Amino acid sequence: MIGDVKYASAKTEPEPTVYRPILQVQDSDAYSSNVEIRTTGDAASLAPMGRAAIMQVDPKLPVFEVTTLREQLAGALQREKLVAELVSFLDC
Amino acid sequence: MKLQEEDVGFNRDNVLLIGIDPRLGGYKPTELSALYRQVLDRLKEVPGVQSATIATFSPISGTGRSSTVTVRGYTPRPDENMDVDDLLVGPDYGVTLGVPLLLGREIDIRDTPANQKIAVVNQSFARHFFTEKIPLAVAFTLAKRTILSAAKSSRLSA
Repeated sequence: MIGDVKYASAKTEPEPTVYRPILQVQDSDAYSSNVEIRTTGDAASLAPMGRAAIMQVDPKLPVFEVTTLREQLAGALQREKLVAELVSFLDC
Repeated sequence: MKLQEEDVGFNRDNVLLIGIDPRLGGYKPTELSALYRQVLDRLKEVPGVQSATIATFSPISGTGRSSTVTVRGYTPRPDENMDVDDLLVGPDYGVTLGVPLLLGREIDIRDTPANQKIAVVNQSFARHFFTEKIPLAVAFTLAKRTILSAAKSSRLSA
């Protein structure tokens, strides 16, 4: 059992969640698009080397998006704040 | 507004997310585990990488997949929605995202098709389905998978 993680948004309470081992599943459920890397220093500065390492395994594997978890969270919080402001504005 | 301090359940610092598309890359489902192993092994050799994993969905991405669950020993209410979030993750998931391990073990490199099928659940799952005590082993099955949503995460190139 691991702690609760929010996937939908920062405001949505976590749902009961099942984690299955991706290396154990051999059907189309195992198509994954997210490589997640914990870095010893600044995550963003490791992006070029991380991308290059993946390209070394297979140069034809499409690598389509690079961001940091902090950026992803900040973007989501910003959108949620905007929605909250809009709702309170409409309530006036 | 206290949004910034919101508890999200993971450590947001020093995590890089890279999107890949093995489907578009021509991989068959049976070839994925070999690809993922190679990618993770290669990444771990990169200076500055502490740990690496792979997951079908990333936190706060607005995306997810749910499956209907049947838990042995749990009798659902007549109209109870038995959908749970269903993620597939690689070894070192908790360590990489900073999600605490509360009981048992994490998914690791031993979890291959040759070995027993296992799953890890979150605290919400345990609270909901195991009302008295948390069993060390629990049998459940997943069926009827549905994609919840597919909002695109922010695109920020580094």
